[in-house]
Amino acid sequence: MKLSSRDEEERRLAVLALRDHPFASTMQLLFKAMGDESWRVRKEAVTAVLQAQPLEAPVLEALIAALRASENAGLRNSAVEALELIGAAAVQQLCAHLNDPDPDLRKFVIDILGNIGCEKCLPLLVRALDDDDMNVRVAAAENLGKIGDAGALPHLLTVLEGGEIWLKFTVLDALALIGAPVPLVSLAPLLQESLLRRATYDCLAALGDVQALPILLQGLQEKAKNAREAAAMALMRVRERLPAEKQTSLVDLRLQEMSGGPIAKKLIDSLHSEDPVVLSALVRIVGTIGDTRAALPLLHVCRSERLRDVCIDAFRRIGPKLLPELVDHFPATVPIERAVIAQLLAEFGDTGHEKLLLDGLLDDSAQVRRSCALALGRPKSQGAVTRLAELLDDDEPQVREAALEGLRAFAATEPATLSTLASALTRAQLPAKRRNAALILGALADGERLSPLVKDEDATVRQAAVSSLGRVELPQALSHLALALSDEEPEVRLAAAHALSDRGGPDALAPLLLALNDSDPWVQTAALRGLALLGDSGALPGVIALLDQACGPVLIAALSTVAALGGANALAPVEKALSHSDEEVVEAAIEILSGFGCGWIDGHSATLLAHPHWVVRRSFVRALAKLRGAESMAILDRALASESDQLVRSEIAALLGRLR
Amino acid sequence: MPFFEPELHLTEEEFRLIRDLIYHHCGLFFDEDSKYLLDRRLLQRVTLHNLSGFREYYQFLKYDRKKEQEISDIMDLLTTNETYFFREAFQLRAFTDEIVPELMKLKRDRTLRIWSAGCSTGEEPYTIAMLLLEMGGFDGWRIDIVGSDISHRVVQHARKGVYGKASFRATEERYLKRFFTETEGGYRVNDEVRELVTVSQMNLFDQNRLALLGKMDVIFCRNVIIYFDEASKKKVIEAFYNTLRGGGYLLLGHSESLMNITTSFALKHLKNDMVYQKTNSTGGGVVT
Repeated sequence: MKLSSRDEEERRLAVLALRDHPFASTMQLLFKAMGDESWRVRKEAVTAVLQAQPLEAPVLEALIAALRASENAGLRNSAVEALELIGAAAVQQLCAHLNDPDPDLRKFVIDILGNIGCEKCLPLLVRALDDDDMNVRVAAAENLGKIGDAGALPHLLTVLEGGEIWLKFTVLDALALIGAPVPLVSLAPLLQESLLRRATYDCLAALGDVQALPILLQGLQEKAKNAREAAAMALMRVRERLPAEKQTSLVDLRLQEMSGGPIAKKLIDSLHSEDPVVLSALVRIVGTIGDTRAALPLLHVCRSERLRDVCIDAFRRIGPKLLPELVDHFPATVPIERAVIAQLLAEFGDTGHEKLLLDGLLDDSAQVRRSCALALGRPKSQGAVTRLAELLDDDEPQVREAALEGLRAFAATEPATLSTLASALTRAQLPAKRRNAALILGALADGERLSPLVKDEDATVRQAAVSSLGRVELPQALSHLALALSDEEPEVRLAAAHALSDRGGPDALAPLLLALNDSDPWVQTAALRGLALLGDSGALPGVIALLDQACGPVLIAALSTVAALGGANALAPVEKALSHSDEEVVEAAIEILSGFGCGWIDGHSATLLAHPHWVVRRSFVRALAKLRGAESMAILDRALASESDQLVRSEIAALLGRLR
Repeated sequence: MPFFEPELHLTEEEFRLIRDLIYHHCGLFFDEDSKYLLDRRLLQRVTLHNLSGFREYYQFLKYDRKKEQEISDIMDLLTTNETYFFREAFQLRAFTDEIVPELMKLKRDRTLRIWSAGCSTGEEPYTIAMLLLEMGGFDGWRIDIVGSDISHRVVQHARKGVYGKASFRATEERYLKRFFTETEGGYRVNDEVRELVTVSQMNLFDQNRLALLGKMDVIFCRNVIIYFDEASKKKVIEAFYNTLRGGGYLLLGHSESLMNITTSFALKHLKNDMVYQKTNSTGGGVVT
C-alpha cells in the first residue's frame, strides 16, 4: 500500500519495486502511478511502463485512453510522454483514433504523431486539416510542419486560401519549417491582413528568393514596428542567399536610395530594439543605407559585445562622414564607445584628432588606452612615440601589447627616436623590456643589435629576437636561426622554424630538414610548411620518412608537403590517409587530393559519405560538387536523403541549389 | 592585435568543432546564440599562439600537449566568474541553522567535509568556513572545506585569498573585521579561515580527480550547472551522488533544480530553503 503513502519518496520507491514483477500484474498500479501528484513518481511509472516493451495492443489502447483524462493533467502528460517514447510501434493504433469523437483526443494524437515524426501518417494529418474542430486543424498544420515532408505543401497552400487567420498563421510557420520553395503568389496576398504580416515576412525569410525582394523592400515602410522588423530580417536573410553581384544591384543600391529619407529615419529609430537578431539585421540595413543620422544609435548598439562587429562593419560602410558627430560625442560617453571611436579614427585614417587619441592614453579604461595606442600608429603624429613608450609599463598586458604595436608603426617615420628607445630597453633588467627591444629592433630591421638578443638568458627575449631576425637582412642571420633550432625551449625553436620558412632560400633547406626530427610537433609542422614553400624536391625523401610515425598536425603538414613537393606522382600516401582514424587527417587528405583532379573519388565515395564524423562528410560533398559539378547531383541527392546532420544537410542542399 | 588586421571570424564548421571539443572535455555547452562569444573571445587566443585561424586553433586544442591548460584558460574567457561572499543568504541560513546542526548530531566520527564545486575565486568556500567558525561548537571536530574550479586563474586567485570591494557587497561589517586583514590591493582572508579551506583546480568531468576527493557531507554547486546541457548535468550530478555520503546534502543555485535529471535525491523542505538530500536507499537514478 506504499503507492498510497503520503510520503512522495515511499510512493516512488514502491513504483520502483513494481519493476521486479511481471508487467501484466502491475500494469493497473503503474497506470495509477502515472497520474500521481508528484512528477518524480509519474516519471518513475513511465520508465517502468517503457521497460515492458514491446507493449501489446491492449496496453497501447490503455495509454491512448489515458489521453482522455482531462481531470488529471499529470496522467495525460505521462501518457503523451510514454506514447512519444514508444514511437513507431504506437503509430498504427494512434492513427486509428484520428476519427475519435473527442476533439481533445484527436488533437493529442496528432501532436504525438508529429513529435514521433511519422511521415507515413501524412495523408491522415492532411485530412485533419479539414477537421470540424479548430484546435485539431491547427494541430494538424503545426505537426505537418514538424514532420517536414514537402508532400504536405499543396494541402497547406490550399488552407492559405481560406479565411481562418489562426490556422493560416500556423500554416505559415509550418511552411517555413518544411523549407521547400513556395510560389510568391500564394504568400503575397496574406500581407493584406495586418495580423498575418509578421508571420508572412518570417515565412519569406525562410523561403523567399529574388522575387520576394520588392515586397520585402516595401515592407521596410510598414507602420507596425513588429512587421517592419520582420521585413528587415527577411530582407537580409534573402540577401544572404543571393550571389554577390545581385546583393549589390537588387538590395544594396535600393537601400542606398533611402538615405536621408523618412524610411531610413524609421529604421534608425528601430535600433533600440531588444532582440539581437532583429538588431543585427537592422544594423546591416542601416549601414548599407549609409545615413549619417545613424552614427550615435549605432554607437549605442556597439555596447553589446554580440553586435559590435556588425556595427563596426556598418560604420565602415557609412564611411568617414560620420566621424565629426562621433568625435563630439567622445568625451561624454562610456569606455566601450570611446574605444570604438578611436578605432574608427584609425581605420578611416582621419587626421587632426591626435590630441584626442593622446589624451586617451591616460584614460581610466584599459580598453580605451589600448584602442588609442593602436590608433596612434596610423597617423604617426609627432610626440606620440614618447607617450606610447610610457604605456609599455601599463598594468594591463593588452595595453602594453597595443603600445608596442603602435610604436612599431613609427619605424619608417621616426627611426632615430625608436632606435634610442630600443637601446634603453635592450639594457633593461626586466626580460619583458628586452623582449620589447627585440620586437622594436625587428621593425627597425636592425640586425646588428638583434644578434646579441638571440643569445639572451631569457627565452621570451630569444623568441622575440629570433622572430624579428627572420625579417631582417643580415649575413649571419641564417646561422643564428639554425642555431636557435637547437634551443632548449620549444617556443624558441618554433620561432626559428617559422623564421627560416619566412626567409626561404636554398640555405634554409638543410636546417629545416634537421628540424623534422625535433621532439616538438609544432616545430616539425613549421619545418614541413617551410619545406613545402621552398619547393625543393630534394626534401621529399625526408618528408616521406616522417609519414609512418607522424600523427595529428605533423601528419597533416607532411601530407601537404609531400603533395607540394612530389605533385600528382606522390599522392599514394595521401590517398591512403583517407582511411586514417583521425578525421582531421582524412579531411586534410580530401582537401589535398581535390587539388589534383577527381580520379580518387569513385574508390572512396561510399566510405567517405558514410564516414562517422560530419566534418569529413561535409568536406567530401564539397569536393564532390567542386570536382564533378552537375554530374555529382545524383550522389548528392542520395547523400541528402540519408544525411542526419543538420549542418551537412544544409551544405548539400546549398550545393544542389547551386548546381541546379 | 586583431583590431587592425583582417578580421577572422569563426565559420559554422569551426564553431561546431571547437564547441564540441569543449563540451566533451568539460560538459560546457555553447548553443548557436553563443557563437559570437566564442568568435570574439577566442580570437585573442588565436593571436596569442600565433596561429593562422580558428581551424588551427582547433587543432591546437585537440593535439597540443598543453591542451588541458589551454581549455582551462579559455574557460575564463567564456564563463562568468562573478561571485561574492555570503551570496544567497537564505540558503546559507538553511546550511547553518538546519543542515549543520543535523550533521553534528548524526556524525559520530566528528568530521565535516564540504565541497564547493565551481567555487570560482573562492568566496564561497571561505564564506562556509567563516560561518562554521562563527557557529562554534566544533572542538574535537575535523573540518575540511574543499573549493574546486576548472579555471587555473580563479583557483590561483582563491589561493591568494585577497579580495576587492565587489566581493563584499553582501558582507556584514562584523565578518570583515573578524575574518579579514586589510592589505595592499584589498582584504586578505585570515589564516584562521584559510586553514579550513583547500582549493584545487578540477574538471567536474574528470572522474579520476573527483575520486581523490573522498566522501563529502555537503556539496555546494551553485550557478554552475546552468552552463551544462542535460546530458552533462546528469553526468555531473551522478558524480555528486557518488561523492556524497548517504544522507548528505546537495545545495544548488536558486534557479537550478534536478527536475528531469535524476530521481536519486530527495527534495527536502527546510525552513529556510529547499535542498536536495542523498537518500540512504539504493533506488533512483539518472533519468533516461
